[in-house]
Amino acid sequence: MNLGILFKCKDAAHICDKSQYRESSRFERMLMRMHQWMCKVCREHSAENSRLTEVIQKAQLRSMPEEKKKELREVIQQEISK
Amino acid sequence: MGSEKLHPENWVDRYSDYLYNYTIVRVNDHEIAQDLISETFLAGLKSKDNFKGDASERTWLISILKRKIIDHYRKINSAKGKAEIRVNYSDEDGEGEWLEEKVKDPFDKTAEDNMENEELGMAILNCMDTLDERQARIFKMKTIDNFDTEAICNEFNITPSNLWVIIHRARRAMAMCLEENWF
Repeated sequence: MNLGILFKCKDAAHICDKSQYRESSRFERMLMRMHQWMCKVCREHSAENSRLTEVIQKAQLRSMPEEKKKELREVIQQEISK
Repeated sequence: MGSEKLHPENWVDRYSDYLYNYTIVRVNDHEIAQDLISETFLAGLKSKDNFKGDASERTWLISILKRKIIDHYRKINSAKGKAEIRVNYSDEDGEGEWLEEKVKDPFDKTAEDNMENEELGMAILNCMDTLDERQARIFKMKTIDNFDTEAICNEFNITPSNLWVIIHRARRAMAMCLEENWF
């Protein structure tokens, strides 16, 4: 782990993104928080990023099942080629 | 004649999720929602010559879908005695309390929240439309469909580093778009 991360906004942003998907380690989050403690821009970015995660979860968006999409594509193709 | 053109071969990839989310909150049944969208696409194909190109392809499909949803409810309600009344009684003894239950209807209580969530969902999907197609697909797979990083990397033949760069850019664009259109 590169401890220089404490001073790199780019790396803090990367951990912040991973955290939105629960893919950051506890150690990475600790480094990110230490960086954010010193960096207002990253603090604000993190708040904005978390807010985006919250609204997306709140919206409860769903995707049509892939098998249904496949079926629909085939039906449309058949109709087009008639 | 407007400038918009129809591309039915792309309808499923471009609009099925948008239409699905639009429908599911109105019919509250996944199977029915899928059937209505299927009917919408077929009706769109049949009447494609009537498309003037003034509205966007998606707006046109939504207008067809709206009619399909109305027809769906007409069919349900035209069947005598089948009009839906939501009553949750576990036993006959509880039946006498229905008036009180109607007064404090818990479904009414959440109606406003549901409406707001639906509008928010549509705003998010509209913002996703502003991303480039590949970026939008990756963002959707990761954020909405909760695919593993590895699965997405395999599907798009990209490295995890590439994926996180794409996700970062997409999230920034989404945040800016929602800032303008929602917050």
